[in-house]
Amino acid sequence: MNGIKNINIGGYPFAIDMEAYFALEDYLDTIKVHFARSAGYQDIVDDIESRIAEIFKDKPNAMEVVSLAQVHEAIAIMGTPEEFGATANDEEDYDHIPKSEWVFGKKLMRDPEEKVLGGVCSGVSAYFGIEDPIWVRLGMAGLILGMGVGFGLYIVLWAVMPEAQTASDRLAMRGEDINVENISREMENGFEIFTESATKFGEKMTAFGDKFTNKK
Amino acid sequence: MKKMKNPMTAVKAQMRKGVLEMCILSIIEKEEIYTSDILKKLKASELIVVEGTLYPLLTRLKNAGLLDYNWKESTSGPPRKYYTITAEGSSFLKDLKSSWKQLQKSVTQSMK
Repeated sequence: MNGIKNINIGGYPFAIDMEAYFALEDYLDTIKVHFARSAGYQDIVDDIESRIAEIFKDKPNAMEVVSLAQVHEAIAIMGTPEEFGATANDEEDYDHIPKSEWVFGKKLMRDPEEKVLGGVCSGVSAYFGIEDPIWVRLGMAGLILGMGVGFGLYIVLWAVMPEAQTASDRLAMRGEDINVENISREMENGFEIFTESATKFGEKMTAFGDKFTNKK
Repeated sequence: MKKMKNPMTAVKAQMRKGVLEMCILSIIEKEEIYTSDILKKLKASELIVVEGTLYPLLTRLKNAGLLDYNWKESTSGPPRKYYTITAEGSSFLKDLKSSWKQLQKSVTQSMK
């Protein structure tokens, strides 16, 4: 059961299936990374987004929700950065923007897959490259117990830090490069974690059910 | 899903890349035109395979002062870019075309 999101693509409103939305966002991220060093970055990215909106609108059922199949189709039409026929290295006549000014960097985000409460501590430790969130949690617990300061800090961080939802979010959370390989890897891991949670949930429910049948 | 890399594909792509900007300028010189129509013509003559190839080239040509665009309102959505060639673009295209003719001659000659 998927949700639906209302979004703006190239200035035009669309209702889009959640799955499709994540796939589209990941694709646009690889485009952005590919052109990150080009002086014409914003123009190119905007043009591509507008064209994708046109492709969706050209469909006879333009009133309906954009599906994952449509996103895949649009990607096939537009092509992946490798298929554009020019690698970032080829574009010598693009003015080079120093890496410090690139659009991407590490984002401080909550980690919904590694969370005890809100994923705040795991997000913070991912940002600082600390493998095991336990240290940040201990530190946070110390702050809370010690002076009560930590409690407010935790709430503020929880409210302020966005949750890392898409594959590219998770990469940005850890400061990894957003490219096609990493995103495919993240998406595979995402599905594994989902099946794990689903299996655990199933086991819990079975155990719960067993309790009742045994008591009878 | 990785595609098998055929070295000949790279050679052909290189060839196309060389003439693509000239063809884009030539298309726009004929008449003011929307991006979507440029794409139709390029795909019809099989100069591009995927649409994404066009955009960085258009931006580069525009930043070099060879092209210009206007925003035209559209009843069915947000405004669209309507490209025209500049005077500089026209004279550059003329140079390119004579280069191309020269190249054609040389290639034909060398294949005899």
